[in-house]
Amino acid sequence: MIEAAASILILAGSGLALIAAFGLQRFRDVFARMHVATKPASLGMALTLSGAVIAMAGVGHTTKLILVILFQYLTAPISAHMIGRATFRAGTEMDPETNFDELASRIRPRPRQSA
Amino acid sequence: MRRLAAAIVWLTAVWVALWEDVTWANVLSGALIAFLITRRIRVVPSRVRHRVRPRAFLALVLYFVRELIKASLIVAWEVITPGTRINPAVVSVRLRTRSPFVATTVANLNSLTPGTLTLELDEETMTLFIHVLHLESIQASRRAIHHLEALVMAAFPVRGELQAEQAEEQEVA
Amino acid sequence: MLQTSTTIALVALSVAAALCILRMSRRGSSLPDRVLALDSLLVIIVMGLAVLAARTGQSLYLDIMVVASLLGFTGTTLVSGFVERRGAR
Repeated sequence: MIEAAASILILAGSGLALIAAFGLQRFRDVFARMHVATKPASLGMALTLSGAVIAMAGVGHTTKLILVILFQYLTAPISAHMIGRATFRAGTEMDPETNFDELASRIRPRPRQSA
Repeated sequence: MRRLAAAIVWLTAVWVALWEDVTWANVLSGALIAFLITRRIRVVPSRVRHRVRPRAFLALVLYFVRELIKASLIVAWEVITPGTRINPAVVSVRLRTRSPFVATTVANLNSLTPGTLTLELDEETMTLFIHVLHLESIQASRRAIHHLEALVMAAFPVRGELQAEQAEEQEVA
Repeated sequence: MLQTSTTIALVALSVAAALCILRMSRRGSSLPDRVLALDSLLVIIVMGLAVLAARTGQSLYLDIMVVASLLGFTGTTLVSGFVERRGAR
């Protein structure tokens, strides 16, 4: 019973990681890739670590796992935001279909010739 | 001063949790290291003081978890199905709060909610710039951010001289 | 049952990690792409360690996990600051 629950969680988390990796390949715009690399990865990590916590409940050592989950939730949004901000400020090429708000088009730096 | 003590206690607790063994040696060494760390890195108090309201905080956590699951499923669906429904946009949202703590929390939480990613936060004008993946309308995106902001403001009400202003803003909202 | 599910999970994570490495080393990727791929790779590594820990029951992997997640976050933040100052080439 415990094993079933842990297995489901671990498989779900790994599936989300696989989807994140596929998304990295598939999307053409760098910001779309950012969406797909951060969100399923965070949820997948939480699911997999929770599955591991359940699986190791009898053995012990679950405090460290819970610490890692907590730390991940505190820092994943920050690292996602930092990458997004750095890319935006550096003026990377964006998807040409992107609509800009009136205010946003004023702060957008001029894009450089980049790959 | 109280912030410093709270930081030392929290760091010591994390240290002891990492060693997973509550002995005197662990606690004392943790306290020493926590003390040294807080001497080097200043614990900067926020300009505005906040309380924590437990029930609103719990509502915020539940909302956040539900939105995170929805976000991952939406993105997963987009990856799996062929063709693209992406309509990217950069939207600016004026936040209603005046406190940097609330603005930072909204900016952080927003990176994991469906379809949006925080790009910039302009602190003087309190404007948040987000990148939206599937844009239905600018108004809808702004409404979602304001909803999140209202939840955060309800969970961390302001204590102190800004309280009157915040109460006014919450009534307008 | 835990054995088979963890085996499947490890295979899936290996494929995901390979895709990330591919993304990192392609010639057309820009610097933010590589940073993103590296961050995802570290998340996958942490997940793989958790699955291994669940499979074998050893607690050694947990210590490595703590350090890996810390280093991952620090590294991503530092490289992002670098990208911001230098430009995205």
